[in-house]
Amino acid sequence: MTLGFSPDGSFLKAAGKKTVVLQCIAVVFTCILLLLFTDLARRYRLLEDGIRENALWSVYQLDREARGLSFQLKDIVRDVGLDPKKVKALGLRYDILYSRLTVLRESRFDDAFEKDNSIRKSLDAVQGRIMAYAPLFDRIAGGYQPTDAELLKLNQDVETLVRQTGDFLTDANNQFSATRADNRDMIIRLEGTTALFLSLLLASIVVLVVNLRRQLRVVREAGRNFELMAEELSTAYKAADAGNRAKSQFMATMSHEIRTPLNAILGTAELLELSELPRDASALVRTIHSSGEALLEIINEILDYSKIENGKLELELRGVNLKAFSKSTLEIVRGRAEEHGNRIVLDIPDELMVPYVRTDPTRMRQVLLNLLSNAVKFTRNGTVTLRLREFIRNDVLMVRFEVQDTGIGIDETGIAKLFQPFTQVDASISRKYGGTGLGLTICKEIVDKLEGEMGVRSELGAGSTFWLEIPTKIADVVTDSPGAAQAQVPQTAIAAGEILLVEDNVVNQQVATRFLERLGQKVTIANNGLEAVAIARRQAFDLILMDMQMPEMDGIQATRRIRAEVPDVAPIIAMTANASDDDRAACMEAGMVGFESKPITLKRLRHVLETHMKVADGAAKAAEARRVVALEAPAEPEESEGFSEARRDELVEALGEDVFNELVETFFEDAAEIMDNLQHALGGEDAILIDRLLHTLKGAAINVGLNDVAEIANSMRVSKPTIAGVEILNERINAHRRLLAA
Amino acid sequence: MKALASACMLLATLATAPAWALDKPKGEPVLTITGAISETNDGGNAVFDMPMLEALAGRTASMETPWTEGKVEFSGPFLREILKAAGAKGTNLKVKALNDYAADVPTEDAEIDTILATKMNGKPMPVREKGPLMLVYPFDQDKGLYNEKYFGRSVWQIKEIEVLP
Repeated sequence: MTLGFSPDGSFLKAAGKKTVVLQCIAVVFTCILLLLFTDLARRYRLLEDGIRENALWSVYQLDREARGLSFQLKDIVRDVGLDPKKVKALGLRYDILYSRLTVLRESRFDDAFEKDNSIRKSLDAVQGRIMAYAPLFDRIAGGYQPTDAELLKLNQDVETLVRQTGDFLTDANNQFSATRADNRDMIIRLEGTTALFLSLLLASIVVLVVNLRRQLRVVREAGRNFELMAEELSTAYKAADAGNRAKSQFMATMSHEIRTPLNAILGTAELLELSELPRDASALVRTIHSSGEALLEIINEILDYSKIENGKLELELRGVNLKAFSKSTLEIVRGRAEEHGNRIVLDIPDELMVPYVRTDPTRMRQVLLNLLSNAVKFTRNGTVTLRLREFIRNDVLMVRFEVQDTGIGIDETGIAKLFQPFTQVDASISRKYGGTGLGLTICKEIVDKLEGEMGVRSELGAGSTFWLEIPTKIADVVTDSPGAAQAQVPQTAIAAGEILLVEDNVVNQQVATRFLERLGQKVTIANNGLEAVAIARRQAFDLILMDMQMPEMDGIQATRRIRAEVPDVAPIIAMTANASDDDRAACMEAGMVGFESKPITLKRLRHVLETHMKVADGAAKAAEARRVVALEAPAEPEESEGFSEARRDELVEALGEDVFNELVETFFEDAAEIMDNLQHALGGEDAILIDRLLHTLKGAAINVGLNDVAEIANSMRVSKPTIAGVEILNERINAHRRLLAA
Repeated sequence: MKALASACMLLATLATAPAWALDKPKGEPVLTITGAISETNDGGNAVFDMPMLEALAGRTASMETPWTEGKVEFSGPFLREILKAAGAKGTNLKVKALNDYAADVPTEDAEIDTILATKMNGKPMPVREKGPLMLVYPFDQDKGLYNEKYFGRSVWQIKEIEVLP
């Protein structure tokens, strides 16, 4: 991926700094502009102060009235006689002139006018002169007729006054003009400065906006890039996750695929061992058996690991008798230990603080067996000790197991690699001792899941001690089942018993019957739940194997009825191709004591008989046995497509070629009938009937190894079945028929 | 019928009309109203002496003016009362001063409380102190009047008002 910006965001930082600087500049310019504006406004107010009287006008009026007085005076002086009217008019002129002077003295003018020295001087001179006439005019107002001499003198004086007021007017005008010019200059200057700062402010705002836009663009681009990146990451993650899941799935599938033929091999070897063979042949068979078991162990490890990786590891907590558990676990490796000349020691206190604890015995045993078999594997002519101690830590009961050997030991770098998946201490180990390198990883995961701790002490050449500490609780009832130990327990001959097989499908009936007969059992068949209830009522059995989905009455209901109506009934085991947890729960709830997934194998049937027939002996144990949680079934049904050769081989091996062929023939006959019914049912849209038909077909197909037919039937149960789907199913069945006939 | 109606209308007109005969001034005339007026007492003009003016409705108000120092109390008749007494019917007035200064004043200025001040600070105003009459706008009531436009219309030493139609 290429990114359109520097990943450290240095551009953004620089742009951010620039923006801050520009903002500061803009703020400064704005402040300056504000100041300028205030100044301008203040000056303008001064200049254009509306509440001041016009000083120049008043000076002009003064000058005008002086001239008026002079004119009137000259008119009187020119006349020969003294006209009292004219004298009165002269008095009025003087009064008016006087009032103009008062205005100049009292009115509020501009500071520039009021405080100007030459103006003040002129005004004082004019005032002195005018005031000097006042006594004479006061007398004239009182009726006095002035003499010619008085009038002539006054005339001369007033002429001087007129000159003075004329000069005064000129001065005032000059002063005003100068002030106005100055003010105008100042305002123009201010305007210039304002314009300059305004343009600077504008420029800075423009730059700011451009910069912000650029920044915004970069940020938007970065956002888009991040989005793209996130998308790509999520896709990559999904791809990786899908890959990982596919890998796990593949591992699980492969393990299953290998396990099925391996089971056949082991079963065959078992059967061979039971028969009478020449001595060397018997040894060879044992080799086949032990090799097969080793292989199975490896495959189980891989399966476990893939389960753990998928987070599917689940615990089943039960009460465990620690002493018995330790003994039986150690017993399993005794044989192999002795082969290597090793001594086996169980170090356990005579009196345990808590003899029964609650834990998952199957998983615990798995861990211990792994450690023990490692110890046995890497020790020659030494001692392998299983030590058990109990102690209390922070009010919690802890169980500590130690597996100590006197074997080759591990160095420090080796210890570091120990719990990593697929690693072994060094490559030569796997060549010399074999193993997947998964064992300890699985152990660690299990111990983690049990909320415990695990560790190792080791010294090269002096042996190793693996330990684990697991918190537990005191158990009230011990329900330890044979579990994993079963494979190694020497096979006992199974007592002959009466078995009620409840199964509606003919093929399945035949397979199960053959298997059971081979295991020395007498089989009675019930075709559905109703029949089963009727038979169970009049006849006692040692074990009842119950199909789940059947016409008339299903397995759950039949179980309930039988358990309700028949006293002291035999254990009932469920057999079904539906292996969901819900189904198991439903079975347990109805009172079944076991749960077997289809297809049923000889080995599993043997196991079922061993487990439940023995328990069934003692009525006292019956109640306890019902508490036994479901036996482990294959986690998923076989998923390979097409025809399962392994299943065929198993059936042929167990039943013989002829019987197998007969079975297949029966299946195809059944299938033809089922398909006919299915086509009819599709027309009638009877959902329950369709589902039951498909279920029956699926069970029968699995039984004879036609996995793809079973698959299609099952998928049609999930989605709504269609005519086209039925066609495909029919075609598949016919294809198999042709193939098998050939 | 028609005659009766006319008589009634005439009676109504008589009842609402103000005292129409403008008396001749007894003292020295101080103000002459000329032009478009209906009430006259001296040829085509209406002439007032001080008592006649002071008899008209007016007001006394304290205010600052550009031509006086500090607050000054003016009193005198409303301009509108004088115009009413003279039966003035015009839109503009030409207010003339003793020195022949004249200012144009629209008659709507008489609608506010503009007075023709006869006294300043309770004393008659001599010519030396802008008397005998001065047009005083109600600067105390409306600050909006306090500018050159109304300063120019504030005529002192008034001797005549010409009503222009």
